Amino acid sequence: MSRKGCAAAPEFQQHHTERGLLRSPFATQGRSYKGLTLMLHELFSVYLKMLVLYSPFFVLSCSSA
Amino acid sequence: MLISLTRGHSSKERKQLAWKVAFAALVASVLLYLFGRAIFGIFGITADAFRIGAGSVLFISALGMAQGKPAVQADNVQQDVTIVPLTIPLTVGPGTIGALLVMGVSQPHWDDKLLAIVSIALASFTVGLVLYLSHGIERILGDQGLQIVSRLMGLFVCALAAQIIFTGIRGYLVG
Repeated sequence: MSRKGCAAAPEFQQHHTERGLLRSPFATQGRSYKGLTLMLHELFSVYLKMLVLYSPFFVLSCSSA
Repeated sequence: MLISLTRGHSSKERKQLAWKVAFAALVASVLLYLFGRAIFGIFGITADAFRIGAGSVLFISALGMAQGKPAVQADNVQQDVTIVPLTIPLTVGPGTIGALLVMGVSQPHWDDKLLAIVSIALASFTVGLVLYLSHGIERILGDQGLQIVSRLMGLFVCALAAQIIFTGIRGYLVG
């Protein structure tokens, strides 16, 4: 497959890709790290959304109204 | 609101009440989140129609929040305030109920659902913590500080509601 159509690996990684070195445990670790980052992002996003929806500070602020 | 509603309670009772409210909010939210699809099925409502309806309700309540209007009158409440009005409608209001039902329908996979339930549990815990530390927070932020934070949150809820409505309209037009 031509490299022009898809996102090419950075120059410093290209020879590693060609030799298949990116299938090393480091690459797997990188993928799982990406998955973990995505999962944490999703967790934090729903957490913030729920916190805004619950709006505990609104419950507190009503006492001064 | 917590202080005005629990005027006759001791400090210990008030702190217990904070965790009770957080737990009740967690149970109500998880149930609504999990059974949204079944509820839609029973009433024959599409998710997009509900997005538009729930988004509108959320938008109206968020407008009240942004303007600093009280949600319930402290004089008209019963003796036990844990479930009504502190959990429903103050913490889990009609807008939140709608948003939870829509969220549940939007995430059909169990791993996503599990992640969302963990987030809901964390958010409920934070609500409990804020209510538990209500005296300290009021002392630090003051009346004006609380009003500002509350109105800012109202703005965010308005934006969230608008996004839900837009998603509903787009889904209706495309699908």
